[in-house]
This record gives sequence, structure tokens and C-alpha cells, in this order.
Amino acid sequence: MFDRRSFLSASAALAASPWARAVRLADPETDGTLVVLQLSGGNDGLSTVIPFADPAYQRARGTLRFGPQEVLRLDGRRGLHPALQGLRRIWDAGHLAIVEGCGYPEPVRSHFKALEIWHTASPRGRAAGDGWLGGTNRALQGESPRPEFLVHVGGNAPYSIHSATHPASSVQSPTAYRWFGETGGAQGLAQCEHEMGDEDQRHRGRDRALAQLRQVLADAEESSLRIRAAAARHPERVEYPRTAIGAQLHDAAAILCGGVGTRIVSTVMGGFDTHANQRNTHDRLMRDLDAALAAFYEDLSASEAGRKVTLVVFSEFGRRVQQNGSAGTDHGKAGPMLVLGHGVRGGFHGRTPDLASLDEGDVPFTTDFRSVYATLLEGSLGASSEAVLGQAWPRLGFLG
Amino acid sequence: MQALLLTALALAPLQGGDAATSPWSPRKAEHLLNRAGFGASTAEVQRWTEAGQAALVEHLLTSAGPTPAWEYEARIPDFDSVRAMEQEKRVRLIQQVRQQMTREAIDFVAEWLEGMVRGEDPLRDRMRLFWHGLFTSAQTTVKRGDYMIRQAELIDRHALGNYGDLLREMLEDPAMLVYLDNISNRRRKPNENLAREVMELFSLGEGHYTEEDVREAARALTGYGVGRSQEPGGSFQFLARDHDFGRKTILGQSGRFDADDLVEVLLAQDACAEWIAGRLLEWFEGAEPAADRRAAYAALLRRSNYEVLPVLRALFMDPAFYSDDLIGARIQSPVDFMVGSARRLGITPVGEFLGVSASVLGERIFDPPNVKGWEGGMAWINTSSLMMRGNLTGVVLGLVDLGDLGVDEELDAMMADEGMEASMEGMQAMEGADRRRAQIAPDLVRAMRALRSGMGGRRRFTPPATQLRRTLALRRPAGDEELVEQALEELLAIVPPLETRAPLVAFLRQAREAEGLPEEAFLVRGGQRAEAILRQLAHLILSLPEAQLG
Repeated sequence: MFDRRSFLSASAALAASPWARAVRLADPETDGTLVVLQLSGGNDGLSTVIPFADPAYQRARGTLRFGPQEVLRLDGRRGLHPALQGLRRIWDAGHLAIVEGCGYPEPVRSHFKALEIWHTASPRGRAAGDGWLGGTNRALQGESPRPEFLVHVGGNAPYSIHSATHPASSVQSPTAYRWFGETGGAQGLAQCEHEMGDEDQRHRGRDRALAQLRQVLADAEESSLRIRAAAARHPERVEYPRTAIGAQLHDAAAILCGGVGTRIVSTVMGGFDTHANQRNTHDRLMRDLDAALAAFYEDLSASEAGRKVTLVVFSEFGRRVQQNGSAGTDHGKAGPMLVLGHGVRGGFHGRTPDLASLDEGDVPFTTDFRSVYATLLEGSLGASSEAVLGQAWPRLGFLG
Repeated sequence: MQALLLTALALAPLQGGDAATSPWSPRKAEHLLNRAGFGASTAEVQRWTEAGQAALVEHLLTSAGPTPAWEYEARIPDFDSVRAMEQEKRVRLIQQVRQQMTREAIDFVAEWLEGMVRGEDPLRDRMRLFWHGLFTSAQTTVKRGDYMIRQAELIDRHALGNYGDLLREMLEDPAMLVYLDNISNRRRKPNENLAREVMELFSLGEGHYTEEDVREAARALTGYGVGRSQEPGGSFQFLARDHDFGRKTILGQSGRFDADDLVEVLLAQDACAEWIAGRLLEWFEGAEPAADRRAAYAALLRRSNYEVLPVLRALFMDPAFYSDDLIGARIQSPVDFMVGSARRLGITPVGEFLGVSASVLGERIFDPPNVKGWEGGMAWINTSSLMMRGNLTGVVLGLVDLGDLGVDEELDAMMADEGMEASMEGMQAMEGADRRRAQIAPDLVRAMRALRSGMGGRRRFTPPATQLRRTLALRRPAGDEELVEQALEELLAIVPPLETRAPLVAFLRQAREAEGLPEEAFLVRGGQRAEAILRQLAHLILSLPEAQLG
């Protein structure tokens, strides 16, 4: 009988470069792993890390304001959103770092342009080439890449993972990451000789697309069993919330702790574009985020591999300081990034933006987000940040 | 006018030996049928090759007109009586009506997809998808299925008509006004969400307006909201007390502008025609157009006063549309893939299955991922979605069923190899794996349930007979090689490279010999066993990278 999977392997073997895929697993002694969590839509940073004591904040935020008694105080000036109780515990344990005012020069208020800038770490966006995680993938894996080195979990894979030479894997759900309905067990076809004929210019467009597709097929073939094995091995110690982000972080923990050499996981949580009636929506988002992160953190603490994980949270922009007429907020500029993990040195890093001198009504940036990237690259992944980001950025003190 | 444009385009230098300069051929006919519709059978391709390019273009441009208005089953209860209800009852009633509307939206999309498979008005359907991806609204945000249906009908009315009319009416469309928060855009409390996206995504493109233009456009849109209507689909409402009647300056023009004036200001911008022409070319060609071609089509769009038919006619007659860089180089969208595969197999799965499948693959009609719509192209494909495309094809062919999802022998074998069963960790892993088997492939299960829903809810899906065996039998293939050749022709939207054939021939030969069936007249003499082998062959072909192109 015949095995569809091995047949497709034969097709995948036509992928342009039959790389020898030398295994490069993470060295648990030195290397960490990284999770990049994107909050899509522009998270309201001022309702996440709240400058409750600042009169400018209190004035600008009418109905969206959190009072000093409501926030989870971090110090005399700032507190977390009341729903972020899990994060507060991580803060108390000294493993939550907050970098306020993250942004970049000449910020844009378009979701898409802003995301491109964050995804490529360049003001030129996609025109600059690979995404920053794709570039990291390339820098760390060299000539023999494995597709599960960089995994996007869940839907809406961001451009950050894109690399023309080092494609990432995308896993909707680890258990379904496979071919179903195979028809038998004949293995012969994988060894079939294929002539690469047809080098006819007439089909140049088709052949370019086909080369890419065959690479994806080869990567699917190669990573399918390993990803599923990692997920199946993961002991279910912690109850994750039954939300999309809960499931995604569960799968991320399983893959990262599964010993298959995954070093970077990307995942996305949406719904943060709160132009109207922000309060209820944003409160719910904060609750969902917090519950998922708390479970994730607890899950990680149980294993050596888990304690090597660093997770960073970002959003494409913060929101306007002044709330709008619909009890919401419009697109703004700088916002906080959160970094957590057992190796993270908690506390505030960077400088708090001054709400008395706004940038066109927006939070001005005080830390270039590429400094955070550089710190993560060097401190967590052991990569040269200059090689990945194209220039040196000052590093912050939250790692190593 | 068009003649002028075509002359100008003909003068543009073409790469040597390109399909663009060669005569009308089956390859070109199929390309047009793929791009302007949802693919075609080999017989149809042949027919249109003989009828000629102009005949096919005119055929595609001739539309039966919009689909008849949706007849809602849901009734919206009278507002006063609802208000009089006690809280609990009221909440339940509202929830019930919402659910019914959601159900109707699912049915609406299902019927639309079935229409695509039947192929009655392919270009109109293709343009409806285009506008839906441009003038985005998402049901998850709007939360009213009937508003989404109303917007789809608005798009349907103008799908092959005038962009300016569509834009104008879109600014009074309930789904749009809710989706981009214009219902809370008031004179004293402006909300600039709709104004920004109108400029960035619906008309000009980023970089062709300032932040000040956005604020001023938002003022022009104040007071445009949704009324309290008992008619399903809702109603537009202009509230004068919320509208800012003052002077605005938008893109250098000043006046006491409202939404219609804003549309006029936008339509007068070169950037507007450039943006829409660029989006149209990219939609049909699958690649970003060169600046000079975009400019030529923008000029045509302006001259036609934003009527789209002249642009489409020019495009389908344009030699550059048939360039070797474009033919066979586009990744099929999930809707293309599901609808096109059904058409080529000669089966009509229920529309709800097609809708669920497309959404599992990343294209959920009525729910674009964000206001920019679907990115398309290579973004459709990743390791997960490529495998899922193959799995869904298996479902359609009756080769993947619920029973197949319960076991994961391969994984068990692998863990046994690693000696994990005996260990504590192994035990835990097995338990974890068992727990997850119940939810092993939720997306696939969802698709299977949708497929079964159209078959009286039977437990085991019985695949409908495919047209494929009949079609191929009639072509009288001389043997395995010719049969594979012809199956590829029938099932793929592109001409595959030579190397695609050999492993398929090897499969067919092996499977046929294992059943002791003869090579000669295999399809006729092999009966049900030949049908089963043919389905497997079709499953293989449709799981190939080659099957993702068109």
C-alpha cells in the first residue's frame, strides 16, 4: 500500500536546497528561549501600567481613569491594572520587568505601518527585508536550519517571523499538526529519483512559487512529528484558562519545554483597538492576558527548560492620552513593554515618560524598542544584536 | 479611450519570448478563468480556447446582476415591548435574536459559496470578494449578522459598477459605521477611526494625507450613525445635532463638508485612482503591479469616472496580464482552493462546509483578520495551513473521517522507541496525549460536522460520486501514464512541471497492481476499486504544492 506522507516527502524533496539539517539544540547551560507576545490593535499602555499619581493622567482620562485605590500599586507613582494580579505576583517575586515609554522616532499611527516597524525593527518596514525574528533565526541557525527553531503558535502569523531563507513553522494546534488519512505504509517513493526538468523560462513565475511551496512542505514534513511529540510529552501540571491566548501559551510552553530545539515562539492576542467604550473590553482583555500569563509562568517554573524562557509583551502603539468622546481612546504612540521569566531582573527599566510634555497629545517615547530587542537577543538568545538589528543599541538591565 | 490605453500598454517593453506576446492558448484561457472566476474543467478551457479571448472576456463581463435580496427569517422584536420586559427575559430574547442573525449570516455565506461552485456569475463573485477585502467589516466586532448581510448586498449591487457609488454608500452602511466606531463620532466628541481608515485603506493609501486631514475628515463624518430599526439589516441615520456643520479643510479643499463632499474630495485625488487601480491589479494578477501599469490603469479608472468594467475589460485584454511571471504564480486563497477543487472534482459540497474550511485555512468570510483585510499570496501558506489543505481535501473525498482522528500510532511508536512508555515521564505523556485526543483536531472536526450537516447528520460521511472518473473514462487514457497526465490536467489549475508526474504514475501502478486490476481500460473495468484508487490519486494531487497555485 501507499503512504501519502512519504509521497509528499518526495515532492518536498524537490525543495530548492536539500540542506543537511544538522541538529542544533539549545544548550540548556547557556541558551535561553524567547516568547514574543503581540497585543494587536494598540494596547492602552496607560491602562496597563497606570501612572495613577500623575495629575496629567487623572485630568486626561475621565471615565477611563483608575484611582490610586484601584490600581495594584508598584510604587508611589505607578500601579498595574487591577486585573493583573498574576503579573503582580510575578513582580513581587522579582521577575517582571517593565519598560515604560517604548517607541521609536517619528512614530506612525497606522496599525499596519507601525506593526511593520516593530516587526522589522526598521522605519522602512518590509522594504527592509526579513522580520527581526526571522533575522534572528538566520543568525542563530546558519546554513542548516530546522523549521521548528522558530514557531508561531495560533493564527495570524506576524511578519516578524518572516525570513526569505529561514522559514518558520506555524502551528495552529500541535495535535492537528499532521497529515490525516494516510492510506498505507509503502516507503519506496521517498527515494524516487526526480529529474528537475522543465527549466523553461515560460514557467518562471510558477517555478518561483513552487520552490517556496516545496520548502514549506519539506518543513511541515520535518517538524510535524517533533512538534507533536513535544506537545504530547508535556505534563499537564497547570490548568490554563480556556481562552485562545490560554491555549496558545499552553502550546508554547509545551513546545519550548519539549526538547525539540525550539528557541523562539511567537504568538498573537487581538482585540486591543479600543476606540469606543474601552473600559469593559480592556478590562476583559487584561483579565484574559493575566490569567494566561500566570498559568504560563507557573507551568514554566516546574522545569529546567521552563526557567530558561523569557517572554516579552509588546503592542504596535499605545493610545492617545486624552480619552475620546466615545469613552475610548484613539491611536497613540509610545507604550510599555513587559518582560517576564525566571531569569528576568524585575522592576522598572528605562525612563518614565513625562505626561506634561506630550508628543502631539501622545506619550513620548523614552526607550527605543530596539534596545529591548537587543537586550533580549543578547541576554536570552545569546545572539549578536548588532548582526540581527543592523546596528548596536544600548542594552537595558533586565537580563543577565 | 481604451484603445489609447492598449496602445500605450503595447508600447511598453515586454520581456522577450513571453507568453504575453504569444497567441491565445489553453494556458491563457485557463489563467483568465482562474483569475476572473474560480477555475474551470478541461472541457471548458478547451471550449474557450476555441471561442477566443474576446468572446471569453465578454462572457465574463456579462453578469446576471445582483443576487435577489435575502429574505430574513429573524424578526426584530418591537423596541417598546422589549424595554417593558424584565431584565432576564430581555437579555435572553436579545441573545436569541442575535444568534438567529448569526445563523442567517452563515447561511448567506454558504449560499454564496455554493453559487461560486456552480459558477453562474464568476466575475461578480470574484469582485464581491475583492470589495469585501477592501471595505472590511467584521462580524465579531459588528455583532449583527443582518448588518453583515446588508453590507454584502450593498457590495453585490456595485460589485461590477462604480467605485465612487460604493464608497459613498459605504459611509452610510450600518456594519461599516459600527465596525469603525462612527456611531460614536459626534460633533463635540469626534472619533477619527472611520475617517482614518477611509483614507488609509479605502481610498488613498498611506502617505497621501496628513493627520490634520484625518481630523477634518472625521468632522465631516460626525452624526453618521445607525438608527433604531425593526427591519433586519438596520438603517442609516443622520443625526443633525451630532453633525459638525462648520467649515473643514481636507486635502486642500475647504467647505462645510459632509460625507458626500468628502467622497468627492477623495475621488478627485490622483492617489485615489492609483490606490484602487493598484489594489485591483494586485487582486487579479497576484503581484504588485509596476508603477507605470498602475498609473495607466489609474488614468483609465479616472476617465471612466470610476466605473470598474472598462478597467476589467482592458486588463483581461492586456498582454501583460498573461506574462510568464504571472501565469501559475499565484497562491490560491482558501476560497479559491476549496471552491476550485470542488469544481474540478465535479462535486458540490454544502456551502457551510466550504465556509468552515475556508475559515480554518485563514479566510473567514465576514470576519477579516483586521481592517486591512486578508494579506493574500504567500501569507496564506504556512506549515500548518498547507497540511490542513490536504486534510480538508481528504475530507471532501471521504478519505479522512472522524474515526481517523482518534489514533496517533506513529507518535506512540516513536515514544516506544525512546523507551518513554516505561518511565514516569512516559506515563504522564501518554495520559496527556489521551486527554488531547478528544480535541486532537478541533478545526477538522468542525469542517466534518459542517459537511455532515448537509447530509442529514449521518455519522459516517459518504462522499458524493465525483465526476472525475466519468470524465477520465471518456478520455480513454491508454495506460497509467496517460491517466496521470489527464488527471493532472483535470485537477490542477496550472500546467505542472514534468517532475510532478513520475511519483504519481508509480503510485497508480502500485495501487492498481496491488488490487490485481488491468492497466488497459482500468477505470471502466476496475469498478468501485478503481474509483477508490482514483480518489486516492486525486487526494495526492490536491495535496501537492502544485495544487495551491492558480
